[in-house]
Amino acid sequence: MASSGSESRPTRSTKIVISGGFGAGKTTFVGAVSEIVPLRTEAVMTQASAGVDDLSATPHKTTTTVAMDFGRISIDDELILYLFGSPGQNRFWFMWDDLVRGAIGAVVLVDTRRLQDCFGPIDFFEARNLPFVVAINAFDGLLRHRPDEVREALSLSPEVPVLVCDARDRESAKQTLISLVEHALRTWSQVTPATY
Amino acid sequence: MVEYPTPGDGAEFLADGEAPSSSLVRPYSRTGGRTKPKRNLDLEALVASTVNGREAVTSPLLSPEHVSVIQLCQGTVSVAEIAAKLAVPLGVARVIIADMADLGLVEVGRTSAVEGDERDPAFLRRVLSGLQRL
Repeated sequence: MASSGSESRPTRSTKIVISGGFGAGKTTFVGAVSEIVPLRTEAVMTQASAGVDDLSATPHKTTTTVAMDFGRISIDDELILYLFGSPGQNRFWFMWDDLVRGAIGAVVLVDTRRLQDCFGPIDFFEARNLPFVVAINAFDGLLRHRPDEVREALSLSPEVPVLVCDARDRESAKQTLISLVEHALRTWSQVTPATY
Repeated sequence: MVEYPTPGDGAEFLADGEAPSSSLVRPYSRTGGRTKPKRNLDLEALVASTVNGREAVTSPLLSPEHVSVIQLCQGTVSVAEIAAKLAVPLGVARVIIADMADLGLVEVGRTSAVEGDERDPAFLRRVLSGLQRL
């Protein structure tokens, strides 16, 4: 517990993952609702270093760098919600354990022209029992495929919400996050009814 | 507290050709060649400077990175924000922050990953209320 001074400041945090393929609108979505201009951070995976502490003995190695844009929302005086945008390609999955640990859930942003980009993330979230919603980003005002068509194409369970959003629009992004948290609440309330 | 494996990011540090520092300054030099932090730090964990950290900020014993982190901690910042603002990979920021926490210069806040509250309906309602107020 942080109790560093007399001033009152947030000491707790949680997160939501914003996933999707290249160009699906992750950073735009984060920027639409974040109270800070999205920041970029990078993580480096040295393949030879997996499970190894000291790299001095492994001079020949290949590295993969993943850049993540993130933003944040103050939930109340004590709690901050972080939004981490993360690319869905398989080669970046070394970051995903980090991303989903302690996450409330994920928004899978879908560009219906590249539906296949979200197969990987959806499989990963399903395997981890991480609640997620699928949000079709109709950023150009065109909805090329109806939500029921996308649901069928992605073989989604009936309980997974499929929404339409405009990642540029603050209210739309906010409603998408609300739908995700409501979905998480439904998911875990059913597991532990009458606990609260 | 959940034990989980730390990721292997930030491991490129020695690849820069940087030799391990001398024993005198090693505790205060970047990461001392280490690639893993001594504690698990979540990306979203908030980091706050301690009274000791703020008092030590003018000490010549502190590395520039430590001074920068203490200065960043005047605002509300997470591990990810510190990495972004120092322009270092996450793994490097984690080592620096973990060292600083061990030295009592900063304190690390609680996360859902530590608390396990991301499946707690009361916690989720709290997040929901915050989002609805936006």
